[in-house]
Amino acid sequence: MKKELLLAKSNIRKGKGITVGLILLIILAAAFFNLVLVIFNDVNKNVNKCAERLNTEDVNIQIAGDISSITDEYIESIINKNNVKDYELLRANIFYAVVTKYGDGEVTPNIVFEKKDSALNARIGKSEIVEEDNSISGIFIYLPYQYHTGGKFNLGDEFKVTILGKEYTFKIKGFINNITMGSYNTGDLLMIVDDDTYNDILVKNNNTYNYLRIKTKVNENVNKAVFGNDFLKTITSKDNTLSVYSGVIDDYIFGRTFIALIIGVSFLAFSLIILVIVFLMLSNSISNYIKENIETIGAIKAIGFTSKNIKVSFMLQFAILSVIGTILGLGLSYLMIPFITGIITTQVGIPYNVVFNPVVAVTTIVTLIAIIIISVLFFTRKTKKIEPITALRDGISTHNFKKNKIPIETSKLPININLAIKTMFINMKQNIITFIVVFFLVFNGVISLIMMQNFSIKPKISLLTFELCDGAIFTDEDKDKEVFEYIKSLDHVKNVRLISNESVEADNTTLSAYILNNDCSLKNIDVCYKGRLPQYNNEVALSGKYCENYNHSIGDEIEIGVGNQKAKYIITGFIQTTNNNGQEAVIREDGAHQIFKKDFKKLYYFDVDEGTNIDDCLDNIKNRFGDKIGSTVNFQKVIDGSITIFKTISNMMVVAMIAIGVLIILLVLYLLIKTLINNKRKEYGILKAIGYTSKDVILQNAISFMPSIILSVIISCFISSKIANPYLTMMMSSFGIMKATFEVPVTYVAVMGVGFIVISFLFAVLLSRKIRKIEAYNLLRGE
Amino acid sequence: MNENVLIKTEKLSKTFSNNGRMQHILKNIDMKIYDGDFTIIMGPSGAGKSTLLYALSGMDTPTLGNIYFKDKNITKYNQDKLALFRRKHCGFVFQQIYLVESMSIMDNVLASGLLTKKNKKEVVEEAYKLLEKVDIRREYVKKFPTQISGGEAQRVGIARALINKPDVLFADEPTGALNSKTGTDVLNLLTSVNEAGQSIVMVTHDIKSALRGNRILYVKDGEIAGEINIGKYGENNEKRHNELSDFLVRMGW
Ligand SMILES: Nc1ncnc2c1ncn2[C@@H]1O[C@H](COP(=O)(O)OP(=O)(O)OP(=O)(O)O)[C@@H](O)[C@H]1O
Ligand SMILES: [Mg+2]
Repeated sequence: MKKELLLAKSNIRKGKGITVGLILLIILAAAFFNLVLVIFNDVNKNVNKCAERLNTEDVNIQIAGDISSITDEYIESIINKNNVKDYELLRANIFYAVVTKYGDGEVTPNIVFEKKDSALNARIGKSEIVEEDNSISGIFIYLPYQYHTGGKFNLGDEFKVTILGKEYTFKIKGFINNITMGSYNTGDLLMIVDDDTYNDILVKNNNTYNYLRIKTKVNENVNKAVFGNDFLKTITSKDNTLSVYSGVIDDYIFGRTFIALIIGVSFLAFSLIILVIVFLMLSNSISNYIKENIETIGAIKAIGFTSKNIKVSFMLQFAILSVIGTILGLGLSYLMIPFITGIITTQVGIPYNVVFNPVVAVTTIVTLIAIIIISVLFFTRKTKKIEPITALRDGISTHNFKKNKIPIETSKLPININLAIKTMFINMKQNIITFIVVFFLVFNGVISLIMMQNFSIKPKISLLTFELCDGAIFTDEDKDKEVFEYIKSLDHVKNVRLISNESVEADNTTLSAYILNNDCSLKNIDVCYKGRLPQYNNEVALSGKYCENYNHSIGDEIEIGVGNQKAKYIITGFIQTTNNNGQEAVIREDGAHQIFKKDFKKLYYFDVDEGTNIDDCLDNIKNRFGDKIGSTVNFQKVIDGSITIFKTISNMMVVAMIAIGVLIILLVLYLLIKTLINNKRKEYGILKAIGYTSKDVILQNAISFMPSIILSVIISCFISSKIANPYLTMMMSSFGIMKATFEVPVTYVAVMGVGFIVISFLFAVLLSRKIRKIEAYNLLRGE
Repeated sequence: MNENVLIKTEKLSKTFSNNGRMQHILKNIDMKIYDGDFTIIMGPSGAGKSTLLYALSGMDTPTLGNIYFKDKNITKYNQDKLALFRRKHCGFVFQQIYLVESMSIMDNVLASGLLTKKNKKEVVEEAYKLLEKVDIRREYVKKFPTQISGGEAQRVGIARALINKPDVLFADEPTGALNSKTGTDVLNLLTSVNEAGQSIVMVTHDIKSALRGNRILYVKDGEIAGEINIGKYGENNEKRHNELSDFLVRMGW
């Protein structure tokens, strides 16, 4: 083993530049590999651990409306003790679509207020304090932690909300964490307020509660969704004027972490591509290395090394590189992780401490080393055949020139370009590698640019929300549609439509149903990606993801119900949204009345003519109807608020991918050009001797890589732009997006492509400057 | 002897450091190369012949002293300027031949020819003419250097060196790697181009090659130890042979 080690060490020392290049590639591979594993492993684990710590409910049943008849005794009497381990009731007041500031805009969550003691001391689904400033007193509020990480609020800041027509100005005393009521992505938010404010709100609400939350822990083997759904049925069959909803912990967690998962999946895709590139380069370097050292191999065989010795020494050599590379890569990974988890926390809103994950680290190290060793074995399989005599006497010719590509005699190219193209043909294998590498890097770049374009520059809201509009009005009391008619009558207002949201049930599953007024025309044409929206009262459009799971096709009949009221509907189309985990339905108002015997909570959407001030419009309606209006929403602000996270992620992704792309192309060109110059040392010496300047030869060398780079950039820009949407659909389908229709930012893609070509050329020239050192004179002396 | 000076050196010195030890390979050499001459450089191995040849030809820069090429001082030229100088004024023939193995015979010649002339048609014509002159069969021009014999390759090397009509052709032991028959062919070729007016400076080890020249310089320990003019090849070759032999004996050959 000792002599193999010596051999390995001397090899590493001899090829210093290549060694460093390879180590850098391994570092990148290890860093990304580890990063992805950590995201997939620890982010969910962290959330689950937190859920356990807070004894989070498995299923919660929410009942809103006049809940006076739903007494504690009644609940106790209907709860199925076979299924339920434990339950706890929370009676409170809920306020729908309350407009709050958030990040660069606004969000409109449903807010439930609680007192500090009961929130923190709940037995099930309790809240915990993440940060708190005890010096703050008076009118204070504890906000969900997400308002700090994503909403950019800090302790001591002012926080304003309007509840029942009264504007409250709180001081932020702390940030809390609650799994099922801690993220605007899952709809309802729990906020703790001081006792005086709590009582004030209660009095304003006629000393009654309008909201009951039954937090249940169920036994193992109980299907949570079915349990929740059955419970809702029991409630609505007693009183179907109530609004009910049931949620399952898994869905809450998914709802809170799915953007983290999107980040994870994107990084996974990018990392896989980087890994492919790294292994391509590794195997290429190994095979080149062996080729270049074939004479040495012959010589050391001659002095008594066996081919097994040689193989072992190669393996040792690359094992040493892999160990160094993977360990440094892990280090780099943990430098990057806080950055990524920071962004994840922004969205998840659950504190996350980066801890070293030894299992993942070992997996990274073992996987990478194994793959590297296997490729070494593969490429050294030929060493056995090398006879010392042949290797020493004639070397083993690496090239067998057969065809004179682009003969100078007949070509029209300037001589330097002509020689460059000849070099390219001789160096075909390396150029193919360059082509593949550039192709993937450009693909990564194009995807990042598309994400930037559609999440940051011109957010593709249509894929993230059910409906688009300019303004929205939420009201609970508009039985005679007075408000509706008034909005319609306003100048510069158009396309007023009503969209209510209620829970319905199908296939024993709770669906969130959008109920559209009969002549409603949705502005969001992307939402129904296949078929059409319902046009008659017996029609329904359903989430594509849901139909996939339950094997429903367009044209099928499906039974939908609320409590005991059921009706049959024909599926006319599939919709896609990222809300409610892809369990959504669209029916018309007249269709809904077949199963609902009550008035719906009403959300009016409307658009305005260009140049109309939306806030003035909303104020006008608010002033006219006063308390009748629950809240008013300036949609653009809500977009700005909820898009903050996407902006951050997509911008970061572009920067990261371009930086990594540039770094990788630099590394790859470094390794390839180094090999090329080595192989062509003699030829370049001859050219210099007969009067070619260094500049000529450097340009020839650099230009020889350009056709494959330029071709690859052009083809990749084109293909990537074409397949981006199907590719993103595939990646995002588990999040409910079934047919991505992202816009390709052609200009940016073109700029990136040109930039990539220019940068590659500059790198190639820079790296080729080593040719200056090849002196014709040294060649003549036989060096 | 033609009195037109082509190259002139003043106190030309070249020093190499070998493991920190300074080695003076060329010591204050003052010499001239004349236009039209077939100049031969001889001397013992390690004397500095090649070093001198490559200093004269702008392949390498001297440590001290000056080199004038047609009254132009090329001593201070940087590498790129020297390359431009070489392509314009010098042709080279090497012992190891040094054709570019990845290019055809024709392309080897053209790659050199197109350095100075832009008109491709003319260069191609010239290349065919030269290759014919050096006795390379027309169907060979598409072959690769490894597919032809050493002698043929060296003749291609000479064609490559001549394509730019250099002021002077430098040759460092051009027959060193060839057998005697092919070596003689190459020497005949060099002789005939010299007769046509081409200046040649050739380093050689053997008397047979040296006899092709009209002026022989003897380098010893980094200095020009002596020189002799024996007239052009072809007339009185026996007398020339004797003069050269005597000279070499005097020089301690
Ligand atoms: N670049 C260099 N670095 C160090 N020493 C050198 C270098 N070039 C030449 N030398 C030394 O200078 C001396 C003369 O070399 P040169 O090649 O000029 O000899 P030569 O007369 O051509 O010999 P030969 O007949 O064997 O070719 C030798 O000792 C050689 O080792
Ligand atoms: Mg020599």
